[in-house]
Amino acid sequence: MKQLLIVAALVVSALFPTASQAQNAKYLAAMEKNLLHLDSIQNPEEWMSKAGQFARIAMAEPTEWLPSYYAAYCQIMATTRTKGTEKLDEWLDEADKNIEEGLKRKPQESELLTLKAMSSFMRMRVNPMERWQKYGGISQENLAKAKEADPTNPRPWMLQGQSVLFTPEQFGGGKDKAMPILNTAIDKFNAFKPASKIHPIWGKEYCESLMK
Amino acid sequence: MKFFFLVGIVLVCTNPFISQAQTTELNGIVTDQKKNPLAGVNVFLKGTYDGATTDAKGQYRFTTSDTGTLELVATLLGFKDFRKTLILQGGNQQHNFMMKEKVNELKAVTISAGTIEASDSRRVTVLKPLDIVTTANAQGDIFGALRTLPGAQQVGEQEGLFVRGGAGSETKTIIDGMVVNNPFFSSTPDIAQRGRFNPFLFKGTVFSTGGYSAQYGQALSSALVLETQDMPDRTASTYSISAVGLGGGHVHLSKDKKSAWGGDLNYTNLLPYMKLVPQRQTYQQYPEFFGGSAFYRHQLRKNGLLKFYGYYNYGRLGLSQPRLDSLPANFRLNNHNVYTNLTYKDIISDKWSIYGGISYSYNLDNIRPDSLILGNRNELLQTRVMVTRVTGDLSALRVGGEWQQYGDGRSFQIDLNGFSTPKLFQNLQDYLSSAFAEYDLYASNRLVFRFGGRYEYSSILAQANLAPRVSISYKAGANSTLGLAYGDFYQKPVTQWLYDTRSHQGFEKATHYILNYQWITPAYTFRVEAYRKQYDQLLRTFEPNWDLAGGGYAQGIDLFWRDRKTFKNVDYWISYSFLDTRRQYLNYPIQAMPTFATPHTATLVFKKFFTKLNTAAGFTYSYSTGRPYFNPYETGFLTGRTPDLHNFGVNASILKTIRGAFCVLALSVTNVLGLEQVFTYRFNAAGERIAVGPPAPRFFFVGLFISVGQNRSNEVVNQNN
Repeated sequence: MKQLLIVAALVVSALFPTASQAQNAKYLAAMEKNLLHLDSIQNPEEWMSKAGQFARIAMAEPTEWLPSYYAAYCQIMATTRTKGTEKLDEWLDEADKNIEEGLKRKPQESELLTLKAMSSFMRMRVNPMERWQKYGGISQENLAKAKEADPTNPRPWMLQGQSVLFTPEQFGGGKDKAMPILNTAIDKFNAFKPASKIHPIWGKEYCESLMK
Repeated sequence: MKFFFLVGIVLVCTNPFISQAQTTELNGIVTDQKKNPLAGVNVFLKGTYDGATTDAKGQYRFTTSDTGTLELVATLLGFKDFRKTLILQGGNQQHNFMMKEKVNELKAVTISAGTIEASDSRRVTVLKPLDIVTTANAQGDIFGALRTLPGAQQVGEQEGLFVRGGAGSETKTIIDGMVVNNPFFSSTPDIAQRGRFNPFLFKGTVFSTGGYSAQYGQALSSALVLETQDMPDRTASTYSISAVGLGGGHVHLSKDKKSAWGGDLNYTNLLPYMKLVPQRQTYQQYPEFFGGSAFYRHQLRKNGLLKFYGYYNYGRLGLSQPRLDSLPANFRLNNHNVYTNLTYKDIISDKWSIYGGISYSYNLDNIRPDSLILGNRNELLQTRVMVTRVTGDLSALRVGGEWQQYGDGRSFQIDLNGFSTPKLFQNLQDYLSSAFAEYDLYASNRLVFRFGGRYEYSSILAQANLAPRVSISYKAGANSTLGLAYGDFYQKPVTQWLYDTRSHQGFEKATHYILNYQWITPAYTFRVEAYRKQYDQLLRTFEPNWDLAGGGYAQGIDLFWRDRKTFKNVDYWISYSFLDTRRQYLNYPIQAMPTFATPHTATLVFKKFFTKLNTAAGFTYSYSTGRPYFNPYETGFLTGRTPDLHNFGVNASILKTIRGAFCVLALSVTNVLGLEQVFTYRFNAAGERIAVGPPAPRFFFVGLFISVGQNRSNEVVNQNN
């Protein structure tokens, strides 16, 4: 009888997707749907609304790190599309919360560490003169960690190149110093294979635009 | 057997497949407590992906294929989460609801009356710590920068913060909760001294021009509350070389970022500078200082922070100048100064936090005015504890106590050409015990009441006082605040008088009334403050019977405007103070405007950043009307006035990275135009009036500051450049 039950269970599971598989398919579908046309979003409200959708998925899927990653990514992107700096710290606080949540689910994830660097880089916009020392430090530190966690990830290289590019020559930045870093980033982009359809792939086009 | 199969199939089928047909549409409007629509609200069904974000009209709409009992959740930054349990069974459901605003530390109104804050915190503040070192005329001195703010007087012949008609001794400097007995370098006749502490030591400064918190006492006019840095961002070394000296420092941050130590050493010698730039005084011993400081910070538990700071400085100088009034012709000074401070603060839970501290300071002046040999020694040992209990979102009750042991001693000898009289000693001690309680009651994000009280007992006076303090702040608009403050403030007579038991009659007293309006955005700051300060029980030193029958008042208006936006890369501020004050104290025969007060003071500070040149340049222009001066030959009392005072100073800082080292070249000149500045008049033995101005018409400063950090964060300046 026991064996029969096991057989029955096996047959059932073969015939019909189990709950977890169904859930997984549903998860992938939802992620793919939300990632579609992501980078064509222009206004900050839309980015924040997108962040809300990823945050909802993150709450429903407590073991996946990618929804938290994208929620934070959208919140950071929202700050790049807003002119003023009033909302900036508030939004980046939310982004940082999502990054920390992601790191709880997948510690030392290179992509999450890259976002952490991005978030503190953005915070400098509020008052560069006063903030560069603190947030520049956090940014550099996390880029280094991100590179170490995954040497094939091109995004920390791209961000580092960008930061050097925007730094005045007097402070050790400028195009000449940035180009080798951005070239490394491009090489890594060309070799980069995302782990799945929903893993991060963004940045190559932006990197190329920086090099012009 | 077959039965199980069937059950299995039925189970699998009923759930996902059938319900798919039953979709429910959810929609509604989300508003705040005032019925204004809220945009950007994340409305969703808990545990599902289904949800939507509200639009500008506060509307949301989404469908779900789930059925049964589910929780509808709405979240928005700055608001409390909204939750509602729904039963979904297809069809259309409308749910309109209201969300409550969270009382939020960044958005909530803060106490503004009498308080000017300079801090790193995210909250928009009047000044940032960096402003202190980039303000012309301030010469990198915290007190110099504060003198560009409304409420402070431009007193040039002696050190101190003279606030709203108060004497310099009526301002107390506090570091991490602990009183600093000697915040300035030791007094030299008619030469104002700088503050002792490096501005980079502090992350926050609260300059209270009146009505300050019950946490502090023993200052009739003003409290300057400084908070030292927490953990440094990184390990780094700094070096400096300037026209007046050399310095070096190191900060080490441990790998786990749980502890940090550091210190610095400085040597200052004005000989080369004073040889080059002629001074009014003749120096036998050019001013020379040697000092250092050390700190240790350690993070204990999650939120606990232990901080130690220690400071030592030795200084000496010797000068001569024409004998004026009672000031000596020859003056020599040797000074040793120690300040130490050990504090621990910790957030125990959501509800409780604690603070404790102990501090010891010591100052020894050996002074030789003409043929006198004087020794002045003071010591202060203090302990302080405070417990904070959070009672609401932001409302909190703070209760604490303080115990201060003052020791003061002085010696006196006369030098008769190599033969000195026997040393005479005098000592005094005072134990000051205080207890305070203060309750910040947030009625909402917009309205806060602060009720406080402070009790003090001084052993030398054998008297106690109880001082009530009240502040109210109301957020009138998104960026504007209306504030009111009232309080009683008590202070012991100045140590010099305490040697005479006739001064032991009681505390001197001031009562403050303040009305404040502030409009503040990241780009602009506007403040206007009207005040009245009533002085009572001021010590009068008429012979033979001293009494506490002195008194007076100070009233006026302070204005402040700061604009960081209108002109590109330009930041400027304007301060104006109107002051009407009269008092009778010490040997004043009648109520009169004291020598350290003037009716009108205005300052314009201008800074511009030249991005191409990586140079910050600016100027400070300060103007004040004449001050009363003491004339022994006049029939009236303090009737004369010095001429108006103008001071126009410029400064520039050039920033550059050389081989990974961050370098700042700082240049500054005070009184560029070389206008004659008269701080006060004094009289010589022949009855002639002599003007007292700065030691030299201009002060030039050239310095190079180099910072070498272990990470290359200085490569990242900013994206806007």
